[in-house]
Amino acid sequence: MKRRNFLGLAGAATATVTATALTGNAKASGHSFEGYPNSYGVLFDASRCIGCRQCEMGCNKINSENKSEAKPWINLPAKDASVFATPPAEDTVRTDSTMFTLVNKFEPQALGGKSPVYKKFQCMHCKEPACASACFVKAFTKTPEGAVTYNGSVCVGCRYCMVACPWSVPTYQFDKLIPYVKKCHMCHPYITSGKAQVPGCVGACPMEALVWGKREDLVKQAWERIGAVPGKYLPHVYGEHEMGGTNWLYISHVPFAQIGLAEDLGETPAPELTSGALGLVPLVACLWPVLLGGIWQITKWKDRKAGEATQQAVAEAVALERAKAGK
Amino acid sequence: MRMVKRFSRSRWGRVCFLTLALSLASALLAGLGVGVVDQAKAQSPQILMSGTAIGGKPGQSPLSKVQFNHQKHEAAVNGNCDACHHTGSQEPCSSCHTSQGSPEGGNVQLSQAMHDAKAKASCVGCHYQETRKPECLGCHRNIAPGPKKDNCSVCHQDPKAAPAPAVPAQPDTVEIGSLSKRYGACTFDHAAHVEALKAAAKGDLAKAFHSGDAALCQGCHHHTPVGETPSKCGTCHGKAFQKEDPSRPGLMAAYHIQCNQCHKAMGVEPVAATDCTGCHAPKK
Repeated sequence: MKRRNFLGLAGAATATVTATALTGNAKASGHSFEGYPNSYGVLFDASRCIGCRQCEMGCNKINSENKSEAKPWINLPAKDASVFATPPAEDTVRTDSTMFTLVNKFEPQALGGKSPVYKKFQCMHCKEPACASACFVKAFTKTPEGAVTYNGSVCVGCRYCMVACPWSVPTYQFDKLIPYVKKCHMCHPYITSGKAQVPGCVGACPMEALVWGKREDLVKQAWERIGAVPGKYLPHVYGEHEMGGTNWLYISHVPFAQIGLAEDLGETPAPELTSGALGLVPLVACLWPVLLGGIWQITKWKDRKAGEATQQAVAEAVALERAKAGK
Repeated sequence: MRMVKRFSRSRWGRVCFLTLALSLASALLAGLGVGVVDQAKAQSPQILMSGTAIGGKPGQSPLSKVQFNHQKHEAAVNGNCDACHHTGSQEPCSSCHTSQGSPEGGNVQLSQAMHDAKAKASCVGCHYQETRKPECLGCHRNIAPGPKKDNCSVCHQDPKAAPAPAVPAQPDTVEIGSLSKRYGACTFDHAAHVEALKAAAKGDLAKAFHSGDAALCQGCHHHTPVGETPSKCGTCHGKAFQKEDPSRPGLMAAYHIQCNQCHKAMGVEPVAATDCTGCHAPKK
């Protein structure tokens, strides 16, 4: 390697390291996002849920009535009464594109594998949603009210959101000619328009296993319930810190992993996992061409200078020789 | 003189024989088992335990002394003295657990030794475990272990205290029609539920701590003072998620939580919790 090439590469590397450090600072200031203040959420209490699936009915009711809703919308099929007698088996944990929410029955080992525990599942409405950060057309919005909403009119159907979501929440209408992504919107359009006071599921729950309120109040209430009868609940509010925190919170008397809630997700918000690397892209894209172009220009200039000097030296030498020969 | 001598010799002989027989018998008993001897060392049935204030001098307390029935507790632990006398010695608790705490008692004060909700050998800890039985859990499931700020007098009873209030008049059945828009009204058999609770609380322990049958009403009518006629549930439980007290359930949830959780805790589920029409008649 020539000395100038080595120096050029060293310079490029130094510039990149500086750029990384700059991005690092930008990242640190960017992810102090504590969630929108006064945003709303729901607290689910697994010890209260009796598995009646009235929440599913409530969800179907409010979302099916709204025929005037602009595209995309679906008419969720109303469940027949027989579902009350037969709660779904443990393997049907995920929602599909015909539903926003689903109640599942578990028989956790913590209770000897015999007593049923039910869990309602839907979008967790992350404070910093992975779906929104993965979407390159900005179809997902984290609203200041707490809900993560979806705008199908800009969706291109790449389904990156489905891959990004740590809870596999967004679903896709594979059976439709013009498919859309489907997920719970916490009844955001109905609540902001005043059509509903609380989400459809929350209003339908006869046990108040679902509690509607401001997220910060719900976290307090969850810890109050945990503290009121020591030993009844596990000392953990699921969603308080998971993936940077979610607006849908869970408390339970059995380990969360045994009711289908992954406990190995960590507390880092999903966008933060990629923001460092992605933040480098513009810097690399801007800095490297300038830098390498500059090095190339300098090298070229030096080569030209060296060529000129050689030519001059040769010309001088030739002139000298000719002068000698001419003598 | 001779007669007297003979008489006295025979009396001594009898005393010697009796002593021998008694020592043999006691040796036999000791051989049979220490527990028998311990039980034979009968305690007086009632022990008055001082309500010494924390760190105070013995006998100085605003609280009444606790009447502790040692016999009944012996029977309750099947004569296993170690259940409470956890060191193996039968010394009084206060010999190690002094009111100020001492190194012999692990610096556990007497009041802590009696009231620690997590210790097996403490009054409160052992009694809390007793309330974990299914027949008690219906009401006791939401009562945290440990003494509460307003129930000292349950154990520290004033001997001159008024007798337990009588059970107020109660209905046989109650019509609950809060969901009558969607379902037929429920007919709640109040009398049967009262009888079931009475049957569950018929033991000595429950009788000693429930201050009469009127206390059983508080299992459901949870904020009504003992012996008073309860107000309607809807007086406090109205709409859900109110700003004044967001954690207070609405009326629908208050009923469902009360019914479902009590039935589940007591292991009495005549209708599956998922079967809405099991309680609510479908509306025609």
